[in-house]
Amino acid sequence: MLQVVEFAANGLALGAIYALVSMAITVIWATSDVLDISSGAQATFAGVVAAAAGMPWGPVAGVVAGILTGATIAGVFQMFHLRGALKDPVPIILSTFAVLIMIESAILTVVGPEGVKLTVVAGVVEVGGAIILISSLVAVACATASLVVVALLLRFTPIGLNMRASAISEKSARLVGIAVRQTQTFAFVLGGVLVGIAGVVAAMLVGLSYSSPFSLTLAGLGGALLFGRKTPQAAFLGGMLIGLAETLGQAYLPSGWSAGTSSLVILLVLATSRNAAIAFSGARP
Amino acid sequence: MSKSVGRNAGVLTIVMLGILIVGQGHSSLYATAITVGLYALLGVPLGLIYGCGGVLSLAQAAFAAIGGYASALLFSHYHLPPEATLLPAIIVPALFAYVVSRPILRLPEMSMALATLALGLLVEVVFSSSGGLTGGYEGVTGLPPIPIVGNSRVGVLLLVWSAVIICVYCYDAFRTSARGRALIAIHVDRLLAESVGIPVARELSLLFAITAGISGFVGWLYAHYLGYIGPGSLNVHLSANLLFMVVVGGRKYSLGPVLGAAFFVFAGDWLPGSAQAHGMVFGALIVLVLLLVPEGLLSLVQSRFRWKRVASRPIPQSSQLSPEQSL
Amino acid sequence: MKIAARDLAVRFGGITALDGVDFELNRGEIVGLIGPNGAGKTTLFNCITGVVAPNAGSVVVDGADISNHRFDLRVHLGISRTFQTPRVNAHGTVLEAVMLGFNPIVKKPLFGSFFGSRSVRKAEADMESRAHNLISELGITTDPTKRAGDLSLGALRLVEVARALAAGPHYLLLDEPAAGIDENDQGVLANVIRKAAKDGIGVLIVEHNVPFVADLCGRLIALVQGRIAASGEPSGVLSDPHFVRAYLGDSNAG
Repeated sequence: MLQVVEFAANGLALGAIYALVSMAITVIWATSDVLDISSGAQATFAGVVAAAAGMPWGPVAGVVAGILTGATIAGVFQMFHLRGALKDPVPIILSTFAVLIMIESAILTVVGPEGVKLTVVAGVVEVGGAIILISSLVAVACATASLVVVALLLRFTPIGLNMRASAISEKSARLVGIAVRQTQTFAFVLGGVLVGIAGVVAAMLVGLSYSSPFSLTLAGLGGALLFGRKTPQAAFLGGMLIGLAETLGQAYLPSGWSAGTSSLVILLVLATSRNAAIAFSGARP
Repeated sequence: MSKSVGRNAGVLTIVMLGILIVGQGHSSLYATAITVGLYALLGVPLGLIYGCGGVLSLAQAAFAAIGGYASALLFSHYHLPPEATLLPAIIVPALFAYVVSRPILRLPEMSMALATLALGLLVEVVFSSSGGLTGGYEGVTGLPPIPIVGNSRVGVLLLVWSAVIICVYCYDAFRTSARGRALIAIHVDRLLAESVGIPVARELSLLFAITAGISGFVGWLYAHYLGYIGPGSLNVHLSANLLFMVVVGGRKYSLGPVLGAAFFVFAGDWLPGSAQAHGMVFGALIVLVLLLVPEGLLSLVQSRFRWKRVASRPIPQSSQLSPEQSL
Repeated sequence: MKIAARDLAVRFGGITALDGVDFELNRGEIVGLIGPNGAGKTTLFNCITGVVAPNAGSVVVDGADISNHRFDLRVHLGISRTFQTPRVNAHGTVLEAVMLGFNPIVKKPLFGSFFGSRSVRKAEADMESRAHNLISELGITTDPTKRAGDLSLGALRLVEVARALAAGPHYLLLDEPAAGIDENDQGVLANVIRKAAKDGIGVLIVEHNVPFVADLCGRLIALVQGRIAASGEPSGVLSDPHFVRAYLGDSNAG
């Protein structure tokens, strides 16, 4: 029983990182039809910056770094828009892939092959005999708070309304006078904030290295897909579940196999989705 | 019409002969050209199914890895020589691709990319984690050289580039055939394709399996050329790079992937700084090319010389006429 | 030799698009399917061609039950169709668009296609000249080397009809072929349809342009709210009070 509680705590903490990335992917995806492959790289970058800044300003620096990378992707997106090349989503998505490769390479060059870690809070708490890291609790708290803020933002603010409208139909949103481009840029920046937090949490919890971007993106994508990629709530749950599944895999599968968890989830969800033609129409996966 | 089918293959043959002559003085050129050839051999079939058919696959390197491993494991476990493992190295990935293709290829482009990406990663995990069978992270070493050509660089170069030339020829022949028109119709509009009786799912699965088979052949070449194969050799990053090569070179031209492969390999050789830092420049270059020349580098050449024959005509993008356009 | 649909019913969620429709199309006759928007014309059409699977009922072609056949298989049984919004490769030529229509009747050997075998090249050249012939036979005056995306809607619809006829069908199903095209193109179209019927092809036309179908068809079927309101001679159907009420009641809406 104790073991189960500890597992759940570890899994949910890992899931918190993924949930944050999933939410970022979902928000960007819904508003702008762009699948941001670089999300995991942005998070890693933010985490590395946070670790380099150290405490107490590390977390702030990390989130700022996240916002900057989010804004960079928004800039690339706008350039594609200016070139009138938005009909085909593939070049933009390949560009985000290229950004991922750039960030990987930058981290490898500047930081080297070793990972970095940021110690925010040390220590453990005991809950009925189970030992839980305080940082795990902080991670889950961060993700949950982010979910609440994003959900409220979407539900009750004018920009949130614009985002939801753009998500339903860009054309209709434009016809009723919504500044769709600005809304999409905002979505990228909001995604930047979320991956910034994800990066800080990941640096605190598991550490980050040049190889983190890809696995974070993949887990984020898996989480975003799992429950139908429409709302941040679904993304949050999906990310959490992937974290739990991966933790279980680490415990019970032979070493190495748990790395395939998010891939397996993505493949199964996509391959078994009935009515794929309707459910996944357009550029959105 | 049929005359121009062989033109691109002819251009490539001249390039190969040029490399053979120039390489006499600069022997490092052979190794570079072999790498370009191997990438091109993976890229040209991908260019066909993506450029013509809209199948966005990030599993091509995984299929090559399956082929390479099939050969390596048959050698290390059963001592079969490469001559005997060639066929399994092609057939195993082709069958695998055929079996997994149905649920994946019905998806729209981006989902397809994501599903094949996940598939590629799973293959990688399987190879690196089944320690006893596949040698785990260490991979399989001590593989015998490619039969007939052996360790001769010129021999390997000729073999690889001949295969590329055949692939380019087949690409052009296929595109101008009724089957090629069918593939383009599938890309333009699946309902249109079905309305003229094209079995969309079967056709795509078949072509996907063929590209996987060719990838498997590349895996076989790779494993026996280097004498080694490991989980990191033919990984998802290569799959992504292949897609970059196709798009950067020109996904609508048979020579596009070849040009893309050359661009990648030569850029890697000439860029200053460490290999680790190349990613930054590469990434930026790719974004620039995608932004400025979305049809690929070859479109610059093609538009300058106005080669307006069937074989070199760009493949149309998926574009059913929208009602607004037609009314 | 006919297409016979029995008791077709189609529901989309809570909406009943077709409600127990019987329908027949004989070879060599021209039948018009008319009715207000949302009456189920296109749904019936899609049921016969296999784009939509009916919830109940059967579709029998020349005695063979094809209710469960996939869309792409029905073409091989001699049912060709066009689309309400023309579907063509906008970047290909008119000739290529028509050549695509030969797909069901041309042999496409896999290896021959890849290696450009002599038989494939011969078949290709053969198809090209047949496409040219078909285009001129149908009286289509568009330049065959023109890009399909540059055509007017009328020319495009004619190209689609040519593509559908290329397979040598027994039944030709046209989805609003006359909508939005000028009188000249309508005249060419009418000739093409008459000629097809004379050659023994059963033609079904879904159309809003009532004068166009009334003039052309030997029989009209009027659908209203998923049911057949009237059928028979054009003059009879058009004066049927049941149908007139439904049609005029809805025509104000568009």
